[in-house]
Amino acid sequence: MRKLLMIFIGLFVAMTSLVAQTRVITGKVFDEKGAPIANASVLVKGTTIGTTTKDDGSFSLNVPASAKELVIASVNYAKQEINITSSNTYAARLKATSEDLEEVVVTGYQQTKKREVNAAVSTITAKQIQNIPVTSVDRLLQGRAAGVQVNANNGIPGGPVNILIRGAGSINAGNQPLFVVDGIQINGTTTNIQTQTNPIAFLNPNDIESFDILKDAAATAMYGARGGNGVVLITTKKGRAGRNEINLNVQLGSTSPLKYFDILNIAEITQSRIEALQNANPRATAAAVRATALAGLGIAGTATDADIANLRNYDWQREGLRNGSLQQFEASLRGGNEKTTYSISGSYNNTDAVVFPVNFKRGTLLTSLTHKVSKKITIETSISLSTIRQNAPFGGAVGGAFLGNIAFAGATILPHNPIRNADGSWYGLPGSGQAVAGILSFNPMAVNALNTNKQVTNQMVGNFSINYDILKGLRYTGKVGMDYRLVQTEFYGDPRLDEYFNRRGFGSVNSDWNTNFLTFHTLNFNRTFNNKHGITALAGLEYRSDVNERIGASAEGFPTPDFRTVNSAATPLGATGFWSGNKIFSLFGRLGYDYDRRYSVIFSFRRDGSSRFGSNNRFANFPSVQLGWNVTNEKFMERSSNWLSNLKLRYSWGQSGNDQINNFDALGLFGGGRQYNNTPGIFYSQLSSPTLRWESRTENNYGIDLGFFKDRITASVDVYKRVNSRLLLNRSLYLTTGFTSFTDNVGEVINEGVEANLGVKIIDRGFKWRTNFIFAYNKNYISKLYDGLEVLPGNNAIRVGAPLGSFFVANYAGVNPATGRAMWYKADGSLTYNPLIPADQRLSGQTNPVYNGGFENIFSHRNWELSLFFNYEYGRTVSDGQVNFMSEIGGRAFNGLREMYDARWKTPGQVTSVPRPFNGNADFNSSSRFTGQRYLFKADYIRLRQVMLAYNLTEYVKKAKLSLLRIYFQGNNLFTYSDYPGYDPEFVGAATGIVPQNKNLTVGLQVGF
Amino acid sequence: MKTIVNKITVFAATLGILVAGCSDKDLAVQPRQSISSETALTSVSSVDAAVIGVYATLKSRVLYGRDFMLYGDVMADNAVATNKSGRLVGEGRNNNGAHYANWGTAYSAINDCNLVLAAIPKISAASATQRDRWEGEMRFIRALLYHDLMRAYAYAPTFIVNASNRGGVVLRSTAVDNKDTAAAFRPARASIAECYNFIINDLTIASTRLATSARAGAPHFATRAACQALLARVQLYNGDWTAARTAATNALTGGVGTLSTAANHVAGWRASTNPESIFEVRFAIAAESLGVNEALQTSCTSMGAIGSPLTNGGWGDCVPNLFALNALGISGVPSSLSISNAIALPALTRSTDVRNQLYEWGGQRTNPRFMECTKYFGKSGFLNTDNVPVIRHAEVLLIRAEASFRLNDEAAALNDINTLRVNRGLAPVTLSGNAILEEILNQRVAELTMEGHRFHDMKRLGRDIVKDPSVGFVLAITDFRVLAPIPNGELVGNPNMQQNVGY
Repeated sequence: MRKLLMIFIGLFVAMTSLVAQTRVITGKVFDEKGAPIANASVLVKGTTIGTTTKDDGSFSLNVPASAKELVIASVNYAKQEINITSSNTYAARLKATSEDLEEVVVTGYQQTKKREVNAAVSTITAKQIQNIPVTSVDRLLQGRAAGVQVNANNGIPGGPVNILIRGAGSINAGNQPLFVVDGIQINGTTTNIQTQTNPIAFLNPNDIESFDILKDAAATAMYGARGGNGVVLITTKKGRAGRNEINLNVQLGSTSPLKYFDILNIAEITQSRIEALQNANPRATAAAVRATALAGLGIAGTATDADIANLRNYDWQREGLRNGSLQQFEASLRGGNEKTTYSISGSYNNTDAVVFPVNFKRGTLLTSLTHKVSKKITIETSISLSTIRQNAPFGGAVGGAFLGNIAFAGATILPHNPIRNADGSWYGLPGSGQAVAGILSFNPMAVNALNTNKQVTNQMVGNFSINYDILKGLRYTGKVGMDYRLVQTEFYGDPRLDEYFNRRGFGSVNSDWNTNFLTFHTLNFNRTFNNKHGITALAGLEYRSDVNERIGASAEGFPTPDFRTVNSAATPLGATGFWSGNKIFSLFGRLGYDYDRRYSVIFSFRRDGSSRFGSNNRFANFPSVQLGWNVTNEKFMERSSNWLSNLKLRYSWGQSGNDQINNFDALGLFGGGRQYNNTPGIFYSQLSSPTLRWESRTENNYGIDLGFFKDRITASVDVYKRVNSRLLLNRSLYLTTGFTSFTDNVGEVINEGVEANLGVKIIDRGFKWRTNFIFAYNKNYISKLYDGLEVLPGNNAIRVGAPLGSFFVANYAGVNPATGRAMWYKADGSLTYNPLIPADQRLSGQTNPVYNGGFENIFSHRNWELSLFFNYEYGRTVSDGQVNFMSEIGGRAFNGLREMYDARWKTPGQVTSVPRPFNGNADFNSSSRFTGQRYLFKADYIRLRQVMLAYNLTEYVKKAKLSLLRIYFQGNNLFTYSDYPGYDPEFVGAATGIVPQNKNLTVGLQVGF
Repeated sequence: MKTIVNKITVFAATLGILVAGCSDKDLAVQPRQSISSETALTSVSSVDAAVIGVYATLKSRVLYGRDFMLYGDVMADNAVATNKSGRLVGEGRNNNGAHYANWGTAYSAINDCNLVLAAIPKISAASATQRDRWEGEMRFIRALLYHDLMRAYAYAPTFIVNASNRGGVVLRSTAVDNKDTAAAFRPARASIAECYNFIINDLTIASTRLATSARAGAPHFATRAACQALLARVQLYNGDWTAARTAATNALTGGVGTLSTAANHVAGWRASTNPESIFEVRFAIAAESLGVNEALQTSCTSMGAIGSPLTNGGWGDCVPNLFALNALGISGVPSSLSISNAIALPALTRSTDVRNQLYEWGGQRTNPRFMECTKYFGKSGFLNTDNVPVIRHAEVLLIRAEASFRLNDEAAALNDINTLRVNRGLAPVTLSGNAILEEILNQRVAELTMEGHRFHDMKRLGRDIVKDPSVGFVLAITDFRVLAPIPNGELVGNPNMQQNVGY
């Protein structure tokens, strides 16, 4: 104690007198087995004085007399602190571990020790997700964080992902979480011009150090108005002081379709068309019906059944849904010394979707640099550059002209249409005299091959920050960042194709860019007094401006198909220009107190002002409080510490907001864009809503964290009730007012749920088996609309008591066995061919799952590692447009599902659920067979999301003096358990003309120097 | 220590300035594609732009872009849906709910009319002529929209099924310009008579206002003649035969358009502006096209060029049936209406009626081939882009004939019928009694098929609709499916509103 006191006095003297007295100390650093550790960093605590160890683990350092402790650290070893005594030689023995520091969680504008976090936060670390070949990192959240539900909108590589954290809270405003990368809020717009983009596809997954997902309102209150749907904080990998690491990683593989449909041949299609036409024209003669059917199918009227059976059926599905390739190359260089650390990482990814010609090519470069300018000042910068090139499916990714999408057309085109001519040219192009028979009267392969449909996304996300340690524990941080994204698209409709033949080609180009600027300034205080009273405090302000602009032009009339840029076209068609922007200004603060590592309380507060809201209500406040009790640290728990290693109780309450509406929804507007007789016109496009304000989310969260047997079993359970009130709702107006809706703050949606994590080290010896089970239950319902309404006018599925995304349809009653006509239930339970809207409609499922989660198993033995990861969803219902089309069976001249064909009604008395074929699908004085519940499908599934087998060549590593050599085999989406009839149960949307997800197999090699 | 205090002071001061500097005003961001509704209708140019904006709505699919030109045929007995794209099949079978859906679009445009009408007195810079023109144009379009709403959702005064009569539509003559008024609005349907009076009043005032003020560019803009022509049609539905006859005469002599002759009738349909049009909705540029799925051209024909069945143009979803072809003097088409590509086309005989030259065998690329109507053929110079004749001389002539017949002036009726017949390459006829009415209706089929009138003729005359044999039933004119369903959202939370019977 006396020595310490002396050192303190010495330190004080040194500081005030600025007289430095130094001495040389030496030492050695070993691992647990006594082997020397090279390149370990040796630092005098609280200073920048330090060195790294040589190959034999030795070091020599000139230390000031005031030096109190040495901090010795190396990658993959626990940090060790050694008191500096009068001795001049020291030895350190480092423990190998991956958990070298007390776990910290990024909670927004500061890091917090995990044990002090009392709100609902999930963390995913780099190790859990390494080498998984996804094209955008948000897909990695699927099944790995309780309460985070992720659905791929489709399988477009680099396409957007639908993420709901603790359910959907808004009816009309957005429900997608906020992504923050290294402190910079990313613009979340998914620009869809030719194909879909994903705002965070610019990140290479292996550049990510961690995801911290803020789930409840207490955690997200720090992000105020933008936090209401949860916040995903992404931290990228940085360099560390110590040895320089070089890592190379190569992964090669192939992608293949999840499924092909079992479809009909032309003879069966002919049969179904004949039945459909006869049923629709009961008075027509069999001969006339047959003639009409054959004509519609492009078959000679003289063809006999045997002739038709002998027609060749071409496999369009396998022509269009291909096996693609997948390549990923990465190189990174990370390292630094006590003053400067750096990280440079580059990657290239090429992923083919299974749908011809969709693909994704991405190059990324991420550099970061941290430098200690002086004892008190540190500067940091990080810049991410990326470029993404995508080939889009014809007709756009989101449907539209889905007939041209080969995933749709390949399964529905009449199969006796040839794909190519004998000379290899496409069959059925206009002017060839050949005609593609059926509704799909064009060659969809030619459409995708000849058109140009490209999208290039260039994105720059960069930031610079300065940290200034004003006093002990008090730090100022100023950060300036930019997220700039330019999406450029090019479409060319080839004049050799039907659609563009008469127009002599069509071309359009668009450029769309987002300029998202952000700066924040914080004062951060963090000190523990008397080793008992821990105080953290934060105060800050933030400003963000986000501008979106677009220009575009289109033209038609090209001299030949070789001319593909709009300047060579004869007729300009249109020019577009667009501008939109918003600003948000915020003040925020946080105050935390921790007593004796037992009791902790955190208050936070944010005040946001946004340009999106009504002039009367621009500003709003978002408070939160978090309480925690680490019961295990109580004295009375010592007796049970042999089996109960952790027990923590948590409670949090908070408010955050949702502002995901259009930038100008509060304003009364006259819009342009109408024209008549070559003269521009204006019209009243939007009613003003001057009192419009934030949608508010208020949430109570109760949590418990448990650890048993030295944390060999860990569990964590959270229970929450989330209330979204004052919803930003497009309040319906009676159309007779001349308007459809205006944006108002009315209505309330409640999400109640339970989330649980269970981690068990089942076997923890030489052979290790760890398992992690994640479960979430969420009940979602609308608790209030406005004016006492039980149903939202204009949308019968939005009703009090019903979940968002409900289907409100007539219940299907099967087929009348006597006539083969589809029937539905009326409200009174009787049967009808014409169910009334809405009187006969009932709730029938919802699009969001009730239960979801994941299940992970990791086995390791010596140099082998095997991991299996499943995710599951239960309680979801979807309508699948493509399955609907393919269930018509004779309704129109295209192909359908064998399952439906086999079950179709044929003879009186037959009991089945598939109605008789009927030309045009709606039977006489009947609702269409697409009406109601018949076309809703359960989309429950369990999917083997990832399997990875890895082998570490440790012997060779030693010989070659490498740090890592690892070979791995990986499979994604290899197996799905589901009854779903469409391409993919995960899909969100109408499912017509989608790009289905793929499965892939890869092999990879990772080398570290 | 002092320097630290100083640094903190400077830092805090900087923060303070930043905070203070960011006021409510700085947070305002103004759009650049739109203008504020508060100042929108305060200048001559902006009111004129708003008037143009109302004209533009007439191009929408649910109004004159497609529905009001084709539903009246495919829902009646003179046309069928071919099920090539699947569009119009439900309407062709008169399925429950497959009907006009102009409610929302029409009321949006009506409110735009009302906004302009309310703004006119405030534009002191406008001349008296400009004010008259705006008022006349807005009242004309409002009347057109209201009459089409009545055609879709209510019975015509000449034939009302009392058991199913829920009145007319909602009448709005004041503008909604703020959310509070809009949210509080609980409309009710006016009676059929009230609606017709409202429409007639609008047209009467519009006729006066436009007498000398109409802008150049007829028939693409409202004129006095257009008002009178529409008034003639409205009075025909209303059963005021004298008024119908007077208005028809005014329209025919109003100086807009002329009746084409047998020699130039077909050429008139090939011109971008039909010389017979008294009011026509203009589609001027390719960007206005409703596209390859919904435009009039693609709906009516599968060909890309007239007489070129190998060029794939559109779908050809809606074609005339034997009843219509017979009225046009075409025979030889098989009862299935279609011919497979593989089969040689049957020999057709055509009467001297020049109108049948507007019908020919359609494209080969979407097998089979039907007799398709070529009234719409990208006449504005771009595929799927055609001006739409809303009302033209032949219709007005037949309205006058029908009014004369009802007034027992058979000579005048026959005179008008024969004027039309002669100008269509047919010999004059001599008829009397009900045969005159039947000939008028026959001429209406021959003249107006694919212009959306037949269903309304049946409805206003109270005649059952004998569907084509391929559809195979008779739609009783008392059937609930004759009236369109009012959008369900209009009824939720509004006890004043009544749905049509059966929905």
